[in-house]
Amino acid sequence: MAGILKKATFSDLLKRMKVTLKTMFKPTVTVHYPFEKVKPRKRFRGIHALKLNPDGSYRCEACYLCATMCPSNVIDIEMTEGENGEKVLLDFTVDLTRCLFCGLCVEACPRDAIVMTDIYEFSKYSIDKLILHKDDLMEIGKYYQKWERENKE
Amino acid sequence: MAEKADLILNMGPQHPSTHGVLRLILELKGEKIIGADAVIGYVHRGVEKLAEHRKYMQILPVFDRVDYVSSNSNELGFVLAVEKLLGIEDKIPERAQYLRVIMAELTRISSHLIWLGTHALELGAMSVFLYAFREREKILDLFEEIAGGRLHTGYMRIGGVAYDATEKFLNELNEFLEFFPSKIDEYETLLTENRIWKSRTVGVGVIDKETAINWGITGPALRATGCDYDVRKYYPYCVYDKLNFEVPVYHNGDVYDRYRVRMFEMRESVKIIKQCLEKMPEGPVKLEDPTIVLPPKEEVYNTMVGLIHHFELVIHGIKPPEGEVYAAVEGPRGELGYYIVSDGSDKPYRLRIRPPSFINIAIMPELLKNHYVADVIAIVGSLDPLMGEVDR
Ligand code: SF4
Ligand code: SF4
Repeated sequence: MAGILKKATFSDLLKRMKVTLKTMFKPTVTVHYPFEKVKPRKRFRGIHALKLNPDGSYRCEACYLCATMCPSNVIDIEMTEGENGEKVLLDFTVDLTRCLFCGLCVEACPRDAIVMTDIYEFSKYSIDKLILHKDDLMEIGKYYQKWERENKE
Repeated sequence: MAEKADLILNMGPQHPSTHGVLRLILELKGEKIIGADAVIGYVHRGVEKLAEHRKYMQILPVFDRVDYVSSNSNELGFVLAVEKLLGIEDKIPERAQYLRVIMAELTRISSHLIWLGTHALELGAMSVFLYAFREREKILDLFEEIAGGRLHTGYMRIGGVAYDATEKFLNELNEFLEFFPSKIDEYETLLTENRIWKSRTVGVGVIDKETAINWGITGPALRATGCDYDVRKYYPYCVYDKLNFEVPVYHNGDVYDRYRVRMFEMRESVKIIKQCLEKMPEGPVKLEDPTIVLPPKEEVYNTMVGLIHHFELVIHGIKPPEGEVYAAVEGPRGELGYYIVSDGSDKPYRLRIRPPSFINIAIMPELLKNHYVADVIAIVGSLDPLMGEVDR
């Protein structure tokens, strides 16, 4: 009997309409992406950067640990011997087309040289621009170090 | 085949309601299906083979991508298997165990929310989809806060978890647990007693208990048939044996019951996480063993011993003893197992995943017979296959 009454009066339907109507007048939760942006959290893993020493030299010592750890062969390092027998970084490439953004390279680095920034917008019109070289990574590194100073707890 | 089909209908692989790239070849007699065949393999990436060429530490990010909506469960299964192989499963710090359970249960909720949203959308309930994704976004934010990744979290490590929980994470998690049960009530108001929903789902795609067990079905699809098998109860891992929770069981085995099991599971997951937050002790989140876990960064930067251990581990990797192990977790889709054969080197000799979706959809050709075309969507959706996991 109650079932028939429910069916005839559409009371259950009204209950559901109430939920949707209530939601309709709540503020929207959508973010209008290109105009509004959500700030990534602190641990967010965006594209890579190479940090610099205070004197402007690369902090990376070309120890190859990040390249060894990477599961996807993203990192390629070229180095040579300097005048006094020290290691000199020739090139450091990060192939973003292959990267999994897992953060293992950062974990493997013993010098805090490679880091991951909060940059997530890196679409490019051609693939070769997605392969970052030493200088690109340095530019991002400058940005990162500024960000790091600002976000210190 | 005795009967001759009037029409052969090709559904997928680009059909929006097949949850990925599943292709179904349906033999129709009028509106009725008299034969069905599933074609899979469109996103085969050879994950098991990839794993054979990577060190144990490097495999984790690859397995994030097997079942890409529940990466934490995948990682958890794998690290449990490796820890069993190494014989350190009792030595993992307790805080790490609780954090693992929290992450696994959050993953279950987020995966069920995706399922609920898409399944309801396919059956015509548009608003549920939007509501479910609204709450899922909160979980992804939580993942981003604690692990740094939203979908592919990369949070588990062999011997613990990657980072400790931040204050902000715990606060946000508490907030989420406060309001989420009321949201489940909201979904249930919209669907559970909805007569359109019921007429689309009740009595459709019935699997009985015997058949389900014979086909090796696990997860919510099995528990809807009246069998209470849940790895968390039968073979407890992490700290599940210390937690108090129920395993929902329903008896009709149809699409509607599979829906009810998943709704119930979400409520139970909330309860589990609440208990974890209460019981979680302070302490380290990683094992202190330089042959398995990378030393903390301060040690690497400042001490010679730490640096040497760090180099040793990164270059040579973890070397478990020879042997074979199987470890399983209860993923959102069923029993997710990892079988590892080790030859004593730093890479697995052979690795096999027991993917729950792959085994669950095997029954589909049988199940679809004698149903109408419109029911195909309901049945496929209710089994919740994830093609990344089916094809691996
Ligand atoms: S984030 Fe992962 S995949 Fe990308 S370069 Fe680092 S280790 Fe390699
Ligand atoms: S691990 Fe660090 S120091 Fe070593 S090569 Fe990579 S970035 Fe340079």
